[in-house]
Amino acid sequence: MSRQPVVGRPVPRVDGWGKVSGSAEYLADMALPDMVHAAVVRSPHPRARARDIEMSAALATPGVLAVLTPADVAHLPPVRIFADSPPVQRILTDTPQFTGDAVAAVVARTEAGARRGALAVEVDYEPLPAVLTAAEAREGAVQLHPAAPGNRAGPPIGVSRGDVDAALAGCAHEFRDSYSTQRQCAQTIEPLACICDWTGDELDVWTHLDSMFHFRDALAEALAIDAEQVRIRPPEALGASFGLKNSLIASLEPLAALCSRTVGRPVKLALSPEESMSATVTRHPARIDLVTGVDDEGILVARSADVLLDSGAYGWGYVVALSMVGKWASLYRTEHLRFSATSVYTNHVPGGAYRSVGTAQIHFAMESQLDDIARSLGIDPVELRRRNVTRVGDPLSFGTTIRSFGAEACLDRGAAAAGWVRSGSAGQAGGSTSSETPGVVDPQAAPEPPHPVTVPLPGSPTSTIGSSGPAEPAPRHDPLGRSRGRGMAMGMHHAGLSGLTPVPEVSRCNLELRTDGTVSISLGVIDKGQGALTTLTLVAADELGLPIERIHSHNHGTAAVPLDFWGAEASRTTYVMGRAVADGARRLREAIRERLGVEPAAVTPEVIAAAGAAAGDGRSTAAGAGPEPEQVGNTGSISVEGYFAPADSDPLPVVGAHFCEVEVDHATGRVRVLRYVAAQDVGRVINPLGCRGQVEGGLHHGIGYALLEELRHDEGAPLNPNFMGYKVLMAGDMPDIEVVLVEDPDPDGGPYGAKGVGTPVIPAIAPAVANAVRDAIGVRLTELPMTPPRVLAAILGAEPAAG
Amino acid sequence: MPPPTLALERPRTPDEAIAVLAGTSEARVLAGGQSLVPLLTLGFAEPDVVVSLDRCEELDGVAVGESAAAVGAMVTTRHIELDAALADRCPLLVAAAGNVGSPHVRNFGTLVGNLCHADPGSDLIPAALCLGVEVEVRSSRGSRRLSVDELVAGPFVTSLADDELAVAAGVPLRDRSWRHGYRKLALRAGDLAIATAAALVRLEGDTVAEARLVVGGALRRAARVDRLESALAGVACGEAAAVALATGCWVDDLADDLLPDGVTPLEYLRAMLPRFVAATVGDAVAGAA
Amino acid sequence: MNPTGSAQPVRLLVNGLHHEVTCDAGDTLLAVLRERLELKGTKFGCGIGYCGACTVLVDGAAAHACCLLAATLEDRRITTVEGIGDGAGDAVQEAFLEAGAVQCGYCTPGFVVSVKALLAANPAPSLAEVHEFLTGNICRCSGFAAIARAALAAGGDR
Repeated sequence: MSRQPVVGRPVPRVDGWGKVSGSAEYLADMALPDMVHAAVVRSPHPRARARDIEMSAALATPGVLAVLTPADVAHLPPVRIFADSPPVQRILTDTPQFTGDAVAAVVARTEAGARRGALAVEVDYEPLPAVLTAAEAREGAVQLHPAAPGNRAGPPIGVSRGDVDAALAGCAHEFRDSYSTQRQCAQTIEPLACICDWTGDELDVWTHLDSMFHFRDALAEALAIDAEQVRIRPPEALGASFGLKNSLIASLEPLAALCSRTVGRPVKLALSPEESMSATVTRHPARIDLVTGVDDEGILVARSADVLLDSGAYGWGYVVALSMVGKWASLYRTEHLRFSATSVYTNHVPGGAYRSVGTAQIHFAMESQLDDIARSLGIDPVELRRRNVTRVGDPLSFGTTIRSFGAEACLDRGAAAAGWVRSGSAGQAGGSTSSETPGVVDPQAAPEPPHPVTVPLPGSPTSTIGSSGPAEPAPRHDPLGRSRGRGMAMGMHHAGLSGLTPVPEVSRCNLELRTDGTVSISLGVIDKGQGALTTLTLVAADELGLPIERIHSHNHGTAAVPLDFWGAEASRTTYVMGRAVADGARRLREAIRERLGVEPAAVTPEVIAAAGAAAGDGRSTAAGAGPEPEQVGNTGSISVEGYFAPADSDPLPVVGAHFCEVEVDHATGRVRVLRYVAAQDVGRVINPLGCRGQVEGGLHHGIGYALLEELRHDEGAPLNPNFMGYKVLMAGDMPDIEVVLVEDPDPDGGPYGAKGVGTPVIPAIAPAVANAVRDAIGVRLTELPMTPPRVLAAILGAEPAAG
Repeated sequence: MPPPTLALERPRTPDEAIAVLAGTSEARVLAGGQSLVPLLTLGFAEPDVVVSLDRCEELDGVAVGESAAAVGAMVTTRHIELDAALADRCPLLVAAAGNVGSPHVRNFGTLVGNLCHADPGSDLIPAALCLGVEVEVRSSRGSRRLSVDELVAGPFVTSLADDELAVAAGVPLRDRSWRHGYRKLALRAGDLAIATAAALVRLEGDTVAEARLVVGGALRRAARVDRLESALAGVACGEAAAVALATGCWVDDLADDLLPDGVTPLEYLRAMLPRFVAATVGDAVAGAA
Repeated sequence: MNPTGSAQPVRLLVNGLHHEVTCDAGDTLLAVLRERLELKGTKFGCGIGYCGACTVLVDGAAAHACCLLAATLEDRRITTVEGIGDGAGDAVQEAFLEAGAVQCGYCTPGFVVSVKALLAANPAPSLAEVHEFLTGNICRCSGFAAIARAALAAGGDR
């Protein structure tokens, strides 16, 4: 049997049919016998004390079975939102800390009844002064949590190497810039929901958590029970997460569990779209101050970063800062480095995980500033990065030597695909007002722009202090016209969690050769759309030489699969679980060989396919195409465990280089991204369909982060927590996308050298767009999102005269 | 969700609908439902009775005459978008119709319903005001015709009485000496407008003889830009956009009507609207849509 | 002309089958499909006509089922994702799988139905026409790119 490998070829996802046909069952579609419903009473104040909770009207509402109040959770410990975070949150609280904090819950026979009951709960609030900015929180005049002096959300993060101040003093050029980023929502199309069923001492939870085991333990801790009493099960199909389900939402699973215990029946708690957006977690807003010193050649000599993160009421800025510093320090070689980050509690919705934790924020700052440095020094921005970027052999934060880093390949291939016109002292093709002038397209075809807006400056012999924007002549734009600009940025994130958490980075899975000739892979990562089950099936298929139809990967929940603490977080499934599956497949081959007593070479795909058939039961293999069992021997079912634990002390570094062209409407300030080239080093492409989809989908979040997405508040009350007000991009807003999948395999990375893709695609996007906007309008925007008012204000500020 | 006590009436004729409206004060008329149904779901509208026009077949037609078209209250935006006669005689309305939400919304949402919803972000209200559309209103007390300016009183507020039913829109048709421009600024594709500008210019040779300009969006209600209309009369086509830009002080006339929010602050609206309208004037004199 | 109060029987024609369902006046088509007819392929996402996860066909035209009152749809021809193809997959569903247009899948039934409506009206749409039509649907996973490729492929642009 000559079988082509499937790894590297486009394969439709193994769970696709249920999704295109509508038959796949999501949490919203599930119902258990006798199931009842819960709804949450949420604080309308960002900070308050609930003096009295009157529940008689709620209890009198038809169908209402129970009302839970903070008194019902008083015996339970406070909840930690993530593994390393301080436990500061109550499942129900009489001192709400953000608008949307859960104060009470109502259980009723129907969802509508529960919601009506929740509306009937009367809470007498005493509003308290709220802390609504991170700067105010840092000053600490009002302390929000008794256990958090100075409102510090976890310990500060600091890294120092060399002598930054002395080095800066000796630098030819110094750049000081401040950036700020906003509160971004995952806005999954599927609202969050869970079902909890408490029977006796045991709790079954059907929910959607990125890491089942991690949150099984966290849920048990929150409920003060033993982890073994909790079984977490994913439904048949799970909506996307993007990090939203990477935190324990106290008012979801823990609350539903208490409701179930109270009424003795299964309880479904389905959050509304508004609750899913404004009462869960968001990306942490950040204020980032950068000081960077470079020499005349653009070599980075010294860098410092000072970061202030808004963790909201219960967030985990500490983890965000930890993720930030590693990439900030590692993407470019720099002798002198100093990083400090403080995260503080405020009276906002908690900050949590969001695809590309920390690196989305820090890259917007550092890659924007690098663009200004390149401009100021008259160096092409690709060239500037090439001169500084980390190389194979360099160390990562915790000392791992980089084995593979496709940065230069991403720069080269991305620039080639983009038709990047080299800029710098040789003549910088800047923004133009002609709608026909392509900025990022064909270098041959790029005509002289009618209104050159950027003029290369001669390298200044003295330090450039203050704003890093070079003093260019004001661009002469048509106030009613459009201008185009192009920009690029690099991005780095990690795959896996080695070194970032106290819990070891390990994956396990079970492989069973069944008597019907199929291989069953039981594993504890979820498929939330990223394609984990398909990817892992392909790896096993190639390792065993079996058609993918013979392999069934599945996750039946914590009681049925081997422990995998970190699950589907941090782009780790292909890397860590992929290696475990490959390991398991090799062990399975070896087990078959032993059982049959043959040489390794004799364990052909035909033999494997036939080997599982039980002796004497007369059944042949499922497909019937292979030889009969008696020709090759049979083994009965065989089970093995696959295992992988990275030896590295850092997570796997993953890098990309992105290029884009934007068009800015000078009448309105509206930005459109026209064309986008994303070159990502994925190590090895397992499934091009999946890889490409992850990059393209990442662009939806990244460009939205750059231009539009922000959960806004007025005096702590969310203004736009719905699909109308929170603006994600529509199909017509997306650019023409070219995905360049660079394969620079890591010999000790994931299977076949694979790395990760879903998360690492994000960090380069916002700065690439920001740099293109800078190119188009001649002004640097340092605040996300770059909405039409901000862009127009920048344009107006640069226009020579009013009007 | 709406209370279980909500009643639904599905009259077969406008007269039956009017009779229902005459008998209750807390009724809402449902045409395509694309705005009203979400409001019911969210509890933002709490009528006792919903009067659905879905069975009123006589309201579902477009009659194109010599100088005007009559568009029934159940005619969808999609119908207008695809109507060849309207595309020929009233391209501004068709351009505006094609900008409403998504095809899904346009398949059900109606022109008359959109006008009566009085959403400042409407695509159709500025176009209808620019065109001089009149809405035919009937009740058990009689009938009247309201201009869009008379109909729309403010954000989500009309001058319709509780017992009145808007049955049709009368759309004036113009000859080919009129050109139009239509622009919409939204934060993303298909969104409600931050700004909508509709322009009609009658050209004599290379000169603007007459202009009708309307701006809507982040305004309490869409408004004619009278000062600019006068300024453009007699201006050469090639100068029209520049003259419009130079006459941007018209925005001061509307200062009290601007509706800023956290995304689009007042200073932005004041700076953007004159540029946006001037660009639309430029489109109109160039004959572009 | 008797005010009918709340619950009333409504004849619905869904996927070629007639149903008589007791509806409250305010019941949306989405609620009736999911809760009374157990047709759960039509998803609840936003409830206000933006996300498109509840897209169905009404007399062949794409519609947000959350924005229609079920009782106003008597005898209109309603098609849900369950009525696309014959349970064996049709060209649009196949194209979605082949193009990798499916990730988490929660929005997918809505997109499949929208693309069916688009292709019925415009069998060979341009990319711009696909984008314009898909303004009725939001996907948070794919960046819409693979979905557009699937629509073009199913439209014959292979």
